[in-house]
Amino acid sequence: MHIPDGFLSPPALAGCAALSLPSIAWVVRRTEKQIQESQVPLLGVMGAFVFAAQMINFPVAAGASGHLLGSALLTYTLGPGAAVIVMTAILGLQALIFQDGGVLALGANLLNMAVIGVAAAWLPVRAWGSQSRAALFAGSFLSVFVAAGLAIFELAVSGVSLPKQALLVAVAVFAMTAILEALITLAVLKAIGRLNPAWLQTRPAGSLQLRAALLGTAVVLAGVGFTFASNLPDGLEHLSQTAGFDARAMILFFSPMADYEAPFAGGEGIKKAVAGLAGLSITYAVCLLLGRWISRLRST
Amino acid sequence: MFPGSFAPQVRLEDWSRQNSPIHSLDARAKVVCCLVLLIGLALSRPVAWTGLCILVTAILLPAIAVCRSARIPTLGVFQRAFWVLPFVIVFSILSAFNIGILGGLTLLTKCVLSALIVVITIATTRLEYLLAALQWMRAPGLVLSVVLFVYRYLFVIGDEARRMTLAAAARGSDRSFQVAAGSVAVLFGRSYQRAETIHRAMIARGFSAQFTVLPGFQFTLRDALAIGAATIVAGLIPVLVNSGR
Repeated sequence: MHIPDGFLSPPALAGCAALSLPSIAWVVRRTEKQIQESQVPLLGVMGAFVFAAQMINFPVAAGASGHLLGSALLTYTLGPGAAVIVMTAILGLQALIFQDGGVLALGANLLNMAVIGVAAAWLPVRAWGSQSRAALFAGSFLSVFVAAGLAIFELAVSGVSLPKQALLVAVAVFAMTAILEALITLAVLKAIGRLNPAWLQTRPAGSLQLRAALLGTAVVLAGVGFTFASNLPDGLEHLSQTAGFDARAMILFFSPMADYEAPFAGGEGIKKAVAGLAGLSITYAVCLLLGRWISRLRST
Repeated sequence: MFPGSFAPQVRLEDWSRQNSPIHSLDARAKVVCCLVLLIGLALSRPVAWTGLCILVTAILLPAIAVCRSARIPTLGVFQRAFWVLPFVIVFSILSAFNIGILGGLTLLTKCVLSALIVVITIATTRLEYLLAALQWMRAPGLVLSVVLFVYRYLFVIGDEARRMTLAAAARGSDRSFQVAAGSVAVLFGRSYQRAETIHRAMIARGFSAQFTVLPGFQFTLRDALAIGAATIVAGLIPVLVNSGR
């Protein structure tokens, strides 16, 4: 689920970029220390592998077929840090060369698929160990489902609201895609294990506290999601209104969102457009400084 | 998600290796222009049909002019920008029910125009230069070198995958779920081993694990003018469009 440019509102774009870019900078600093230099070509070739593997069709019942999406498989073979980097490279190339996802929306797509997607794939395995097939299944399911859910959420906050029925259909489709991804990932992992077990990440089960914390978070998140979904589309409308009010508060930064229904005069408009551009540049500068600061922190 | 071959990408790369006044602009300037225009589009929310028309004209006319002076096929560029349509059309139609026809059409227009800006940038800038520009803007070198590797081996591994599926079809194999999983695993193994071979070959050629920038940058008056023009267009769009009636 790649969000193209033109869908997300400026506050949503800036918010997602402000979350995803520093996290990726942090992962890069962390991973750069762990991986050997020989792994730079490996990461690149594995990114190309994900593209190519998507050409192999998996037949499902009744003539339908699906294909691998890959972030979970990358996580379980290369490790979470390397998976984030490879996913970042893949999503960047898709936005630039394949027109798959927007360039400004890259911050959001990175957050959904590279940061949260990989984290969702890794956490169950971190808690229950890589031996547990249930953990692998849950992780690869979540890597797709959580990413898609986040994308829908970001669109809703941006005011792109869908009719209730369409949303339910979308959620059902995402759930099916996620189940398919989990089945494919498990089958491929099994086959890779037969070829060479050293290609798989091994991870002992985590502590009981971690499992409890994870389960607790999952239950809370599922509860919130369910209440949210049962109040559709009122919940979404409310949310987008709230986001609108927030934007009103940030009027200096992101004016066009706030004045959606009120046409304004030319002179004021120039001021607001300049303010909007300035707001986005400030966001960029903040991200840059934050990234630098983190890298300093890491290298000392 | 992808067509059977990556041939359209090669065409894009061919375009980006031509020579023209647009191609010879500083890659950093082109990245800035692209981002500024995308931000201008993101900030605009037409409130009336005239606004939408202004939006389309303000991007389309300069886009055609840039394509002409870059000597890249205008039609081909537009065709690529329409790649975003399948996903976008569904969303526009659905949201047209909720926020009106103007809203739905605005969504569609902004998506296609944004894609158009990106395609023109990519079609006139070689990927190495683009990545070098991003490195200058402090994007992490590790990610950029991985991007370069992915792009380089996309075609190699893609061909490998196509050969495998072709060979399996020639053997009349019954494409079951397990067989497909096996093919992906084999492809994984071959990619892994290829990466090792590549690394050894690179060591033999003196690879230092550092992403080095081949081209030097030269920021001239023309680049400043390009950025200025892009900023004026990007600034004017929201002002004109958001106040229509």
